Amino acid sequence: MTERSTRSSDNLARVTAFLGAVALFLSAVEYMVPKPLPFMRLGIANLPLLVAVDVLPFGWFLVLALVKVFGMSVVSGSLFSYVALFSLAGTMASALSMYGSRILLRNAVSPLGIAVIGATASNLVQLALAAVFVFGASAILTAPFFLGSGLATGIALGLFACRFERDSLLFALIREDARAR
Amino acid sequence: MHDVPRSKPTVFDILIVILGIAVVAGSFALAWNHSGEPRAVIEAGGSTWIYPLDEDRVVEARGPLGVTVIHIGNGGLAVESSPCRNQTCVASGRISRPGQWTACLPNGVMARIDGGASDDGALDAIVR
Repeated sequence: MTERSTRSSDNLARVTAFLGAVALFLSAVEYMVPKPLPFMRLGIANLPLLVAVDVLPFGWFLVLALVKVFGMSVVSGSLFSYVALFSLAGTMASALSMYGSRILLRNAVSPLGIAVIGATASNLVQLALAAVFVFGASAILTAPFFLGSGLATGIALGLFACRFERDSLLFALIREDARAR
Repeated sequence: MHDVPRSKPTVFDILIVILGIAVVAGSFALAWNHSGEPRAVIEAGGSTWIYPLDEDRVVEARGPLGVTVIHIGNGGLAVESSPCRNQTCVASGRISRPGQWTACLPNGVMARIDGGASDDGALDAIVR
């Protein structure tokens, strides 16, 4: 391995570690916010993933997604329960659809569209799992609320990410660090 | 990696949001079926229990974590206790209108109110 590629890998590892730490922190914040209804999520822990779509290469992006799942499961105490599988499936569906949409649609979409695609993919996969493994056909009854709240939080998160990527010095530094290779 | 991300909403973003709204609206159409007399429907462990809402009773639904206690009566139902860690199902309170639901995902228990089928008659309880 050359000195240049080692430095590049170090930079990406540092950016991934930083975004993973932010995801863990936001997971803790999300866990503390009272939820009026079961399954409701703010989705703020997805913000590092949304930002990482425009910063990290695919391999490191997947590492970040796994770090986020692990962190969320540890914070919520669900690491060794089947609920962690819901989290894993939802996050991976969200991560892959967000990264895929950025590749396919390129700059035709902003973080707003990417966030909505990610939230919808995550919720559809979790609904499918709930239908197959837990609630059967009744899972469809939760769909309007689940998908509706996911859409609303996806829009809010996407708009925030648009502003963050446009105005934040922190985002500029993160991109600079990831690019420096 | 994508070097020049767009940070302002685009026409595609609006189309994606509209598509998302259509998905939500479609799910409403699939889920909304509340034409009959409201009744309590409780599902756990692959079984379904159906009760009238006007009789006071306590139902113990067993899931993988233990027993979720649901109080039915006075036209509604509420989860009184559940062995889950986050207690969101208990905090969500009482439901009383057709289409409303509450659930304990960790314990695999769902309680909802739907419009009953017309052939249920004056039911005490139905197990499916």
